[in-house]
Amino acid sequence: MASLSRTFRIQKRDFTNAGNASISVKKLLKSLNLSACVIRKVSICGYEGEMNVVMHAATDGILAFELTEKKIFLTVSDEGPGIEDIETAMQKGYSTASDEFREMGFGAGMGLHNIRENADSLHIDSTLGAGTVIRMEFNPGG
Amino acid sequence: MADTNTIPCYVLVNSDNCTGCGACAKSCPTRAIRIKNGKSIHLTDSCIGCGECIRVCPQGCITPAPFDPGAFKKEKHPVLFVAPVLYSQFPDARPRDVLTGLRRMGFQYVVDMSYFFEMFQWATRRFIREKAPELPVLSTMCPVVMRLVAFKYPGLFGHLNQVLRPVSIIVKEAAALIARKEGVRLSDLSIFYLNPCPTKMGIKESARLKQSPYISRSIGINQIYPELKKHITDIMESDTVDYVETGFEFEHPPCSEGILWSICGGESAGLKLDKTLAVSGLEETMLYLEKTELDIFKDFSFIEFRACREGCVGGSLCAMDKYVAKSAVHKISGRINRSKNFSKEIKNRFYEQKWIPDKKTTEQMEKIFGGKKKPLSIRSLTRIDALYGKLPGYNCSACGAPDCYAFAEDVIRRRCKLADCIFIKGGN
Repeated sequence: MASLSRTFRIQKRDFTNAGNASISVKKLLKSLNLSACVIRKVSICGYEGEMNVVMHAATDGILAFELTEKKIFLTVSDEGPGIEDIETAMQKGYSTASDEFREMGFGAGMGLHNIRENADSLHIDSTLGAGTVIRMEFNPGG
Repeated sequence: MADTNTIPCYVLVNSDNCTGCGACAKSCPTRAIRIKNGKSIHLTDSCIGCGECIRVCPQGCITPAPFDPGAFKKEKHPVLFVAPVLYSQFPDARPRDVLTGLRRMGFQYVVDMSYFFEMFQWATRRFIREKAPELPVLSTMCPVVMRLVAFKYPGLFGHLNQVLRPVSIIVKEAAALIARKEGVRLSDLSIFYLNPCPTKMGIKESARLKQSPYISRSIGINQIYPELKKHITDIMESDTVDYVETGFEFEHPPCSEGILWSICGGESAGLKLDKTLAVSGLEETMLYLEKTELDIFKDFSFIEFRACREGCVGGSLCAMDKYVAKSAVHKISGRINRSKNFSKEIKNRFYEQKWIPDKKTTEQMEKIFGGKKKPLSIRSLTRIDALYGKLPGYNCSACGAPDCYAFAEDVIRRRCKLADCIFIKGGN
């Protein structure tokens, strides 16, 4: 079965380029002429994942993208502080972003919430003090 | 007669002077240009008329689709529609002198469009505050941006300003009035636009939108600049010439806010909304459209996009340097210092009742503004990836494609041969 994969490095604290990986993924999906709704879901999740790395990770992170006929996989992994309580972190408005980032207009606590709303399937692995892996799946048919 | 490559619509390449340098191919936002046999060619259906290739061609061999700018002189009832950017080209003249100059050139009626822009702005503000549209609402003023959205960002259709674009209203209303006044049929009028960019030079859209009873044509500002400049200088040197109203309803010189529409930020500033953005230049416009698709600007109520840097003053058919023109805009706008000149009655007539048109479907919009590339399959994408991996990645454009990835895609789409890459051919 045909499959396509790409990996992108996400630099911590690089707000200017945050979103570039998701933009590349978006372009690929558009060239396949997938529905606007699917592209939107994947793009939003990708961007929120990127922003988590930019704001919280201790080192650079990775966004991995894989596309098959049946599924779209998006995995964002970082070596960061980890998430203490995933259920709490997914609540609307819950944020551990610093005041600095909030002043820049980020860290409104919608990231993981948006991911849960948009991904067809979501699995988060997180170890305190070690890092976080967010695995998302999407159905290309909508 | 020079050998010319006619392309779909907006621009024309004079092959005699083309050196095949590839500057146009690299500059094209929709990757619509390739170099074949040392000459620039345009791929049909991908040109959005942005004029970037006209701007970057070092040989000056790319021009707007050809049109004789003097053709209006043969017409019986030539009517000219003027965008406010025109005034920026004459920093020392009053807008009314510019309009008088155009009449002296031979246009029977000259209609300043900023009058309708102001109403449009007022309607847009109400639309955003009262109809709770998807935010941010995107400006529909720049036709290149509209085509970009249709071509590359169809997911943003729902964000486009739903208020009817002013140009569509003004031409209909003004033409009807003039025809009545002259006692002629609509089809007896010849409609012209004076434009700062080649986006309207083409026939693509007018051919598809057949509802108008008259044929409308575009003239680039730089095509008539020398002649108009002469008239304006004459008018300014003479004390006796003054602006004569011909008693036609929309014949107002613009107000100070209307003048600002020619620079990026003018449209959004007049909206007086809390959070707006104004983005100009093709590259930035595309980047911010990408970002808008990621939902980054959902807190903003309006984004004004202009494909040309600094707005319409940066149009490739302007006669004046864009920064000089921009400074002129501020100067003229400050000098007129006149506020909006439409009454509530007029607003009601045009916008209150039916300012939001029947919902346009995505397909309709795509038909009007967009072309679409044939979609690829996952297998083709994988093959493009594999091929791309074998290419040098220098993006040298010697093959004629703008970069290595576009070349790989061309090969897979069977538009060119792998041996067109000099590195592959040379076995390196």
